[in-house]
Amino acid sequence: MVQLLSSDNETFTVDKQVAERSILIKNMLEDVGESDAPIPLPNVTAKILKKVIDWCEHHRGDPVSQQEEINDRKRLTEIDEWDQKFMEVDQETLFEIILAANYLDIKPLLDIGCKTVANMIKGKSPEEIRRTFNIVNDFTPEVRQFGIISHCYFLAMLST
Amino acid sequence: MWHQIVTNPHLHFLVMNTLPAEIIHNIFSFLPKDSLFSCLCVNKFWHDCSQSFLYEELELESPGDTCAIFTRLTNTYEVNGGLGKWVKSLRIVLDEYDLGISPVSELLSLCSNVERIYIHHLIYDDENYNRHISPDYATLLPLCSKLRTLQGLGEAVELIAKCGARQITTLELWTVLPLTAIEGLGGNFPNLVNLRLSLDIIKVAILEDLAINCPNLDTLHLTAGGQEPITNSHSRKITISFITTLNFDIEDIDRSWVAHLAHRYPKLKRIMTSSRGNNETIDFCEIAQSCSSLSDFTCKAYNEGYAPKASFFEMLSQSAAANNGLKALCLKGNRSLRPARGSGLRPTISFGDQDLHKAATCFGGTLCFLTLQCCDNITSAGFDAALDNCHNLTNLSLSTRTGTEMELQFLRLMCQCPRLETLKLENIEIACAPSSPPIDMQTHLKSVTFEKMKTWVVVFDHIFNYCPNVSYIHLRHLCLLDQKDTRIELPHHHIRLLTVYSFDIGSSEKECEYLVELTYKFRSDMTPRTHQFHCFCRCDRKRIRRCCYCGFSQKSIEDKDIVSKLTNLRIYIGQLDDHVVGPSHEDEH
Repeated sequence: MVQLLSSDNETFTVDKQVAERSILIKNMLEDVGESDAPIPLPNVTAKILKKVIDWCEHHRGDPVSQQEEINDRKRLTEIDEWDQKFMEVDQETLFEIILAANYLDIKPLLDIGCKTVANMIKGKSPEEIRRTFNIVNDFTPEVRQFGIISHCYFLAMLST
Repeated sequence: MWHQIVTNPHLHFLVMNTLPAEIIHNIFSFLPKDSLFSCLCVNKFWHDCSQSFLYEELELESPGDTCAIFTRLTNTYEVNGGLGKWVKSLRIVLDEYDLGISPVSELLSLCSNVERIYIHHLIYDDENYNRHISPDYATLLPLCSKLRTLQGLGEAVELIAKCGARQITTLELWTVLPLTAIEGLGGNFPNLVNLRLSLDIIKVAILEDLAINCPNLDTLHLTAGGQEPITNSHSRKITISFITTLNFDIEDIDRSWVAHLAHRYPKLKRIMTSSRGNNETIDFCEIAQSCSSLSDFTCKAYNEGYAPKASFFEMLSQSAAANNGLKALCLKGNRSLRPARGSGLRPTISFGDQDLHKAATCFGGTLCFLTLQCCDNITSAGFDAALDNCHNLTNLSLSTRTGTEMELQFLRLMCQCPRLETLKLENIEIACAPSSPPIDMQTHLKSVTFEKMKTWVVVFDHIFNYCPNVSYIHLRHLCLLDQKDTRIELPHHHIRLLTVYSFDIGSSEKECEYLVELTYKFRSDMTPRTHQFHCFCRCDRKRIRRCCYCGFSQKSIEDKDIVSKLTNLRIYIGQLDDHVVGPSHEDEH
């Protein structure tokens, strides 16, 4: 068993196997060796840490993929059902899970988070994207008129 | 307190913006091109992020104009370092009217991070046989320090073959070259790992040059119109070579050359070979004797006598290192039903029941991939007996030339090969007895392809009853209506990827309507990249246009003629922001 300490000082006790889904923790355990002291995770709040642990518990048996698929272009955005449910959270939580997965170095969770965001972007117009993520359009009028238009035309011309 | 944060309208923006660049990069890597177009217009930050993906692969055909625009865009609009730095893959196609070569030179100097270049152009003017001014590749290519892959077509290859660039690891020259053009090739590209060459005639000296100069060469793809005879003086050859993949297609190759290649490359793991021409019987026993690590064998034959025989498998099983053995076996015959010159039907390759049975008994335990294409000499009984030994098979692909000659029992097949994941059938009728399967039957079948099968619906029903994991389905040249013209329902909650090609049969008005409807149905259920539906059919242009609109990958449309008549551009325009592209611009297209 391993103890994890969240940024807001809540302690979680988890199986070593579960905790080692995080490469960060795995490396820490290897460096420090067995110890009863909880591992401090100053970048993760209790709420998010709990979510992350839930995910690791559910995926504890998954094979750890050794090799990274290099071919980025062919990356599929499939997400399995359980993960889809898991990611049905508000945007802040989603982003925080992504940040936590990045910090804790849990690549599959990071990818699922990123895929979820990608799916939120897909098929939307720029205005819809701005609304979805509350983004302010900060283009200056000149850029809008010349820059982006010429850009789009150039790219669209190439892709036909 | 949490709720307060949620209602703060600026927080999303902050959060999205505070995600580290690598995460944004990761998110965008899951987006298709059309979504990236939208992202480009969201705001400055998104604009910069999506650019790197949009310019990753740049294709410029007859680039006189496009090069100029690109250069202008780079110079005027961009502030930090230009657009060229995003380009990782560059494809340049020059036609004979593009005499102004300078844009290409300029382009290559702009794309400082390019990793892959494809060049296609002519250096001679056909009518006058005048040499065009060509870009100075010998100077330009070494400047692209990250360049690893260089591919060429047309007469450009002559220039490329001579120029040399030490950093390149993959070189593919697709045009037939005279021997003079590749003199010293090995010395010019010493770090090659993959090489593809097409030659008039293959000589031992060429292989020798590569063996001396390219110590890292791993994959060699040789196509040649003929061969120099092997003489005794060639016995002093260098055998220290680590090539593991050899792909050779040499017209009228003779036994001595096969033996020569086998001796020269003893570490071969993968061999792909094909032969046209009227060669003598070649059974590849030389390869079986010399190459103890062989695990993947593909043979495409256009004539009789060019096929591995039972003796090959026996010999290989003796010479193979312990725990090794054939993992993939692929035999392809000639698909064409057109008669050969002066005779009747082209012969099918003479790989028969006996040979297959030998292969299965020798390598049944290790064999994972089995492809038999146009092997009409194999009978259903022979196949059935062979498969009893192949319990580790994961991919099976079968086709016959004339159809209906083999009958397979589907459930029996699933019991014989419990690990089967991919099944492809063409021109074969499958029997599906109504008997119930064994209770403990477990299937791993994920992907199925049916092509030109009359009884596919019966198999289809079986698959959905007994194989719950099937989610990738490809239907080619099948009728989607039954005999009474009613539609065949596809259980679409199962399906993740469905492709339908039906260019030449079916395609009645009613079927087209069904295809169009399917397209809409799948679109509403699927997000573009996750679930794809491609459908191609021969019908009037109006319908095709609708299909293409609904399908997701315009690039994969096969019929270029039809595509050129489509107004594809509107798809992108339609997804741009109204603020950005005003109505006046739509008129231009």
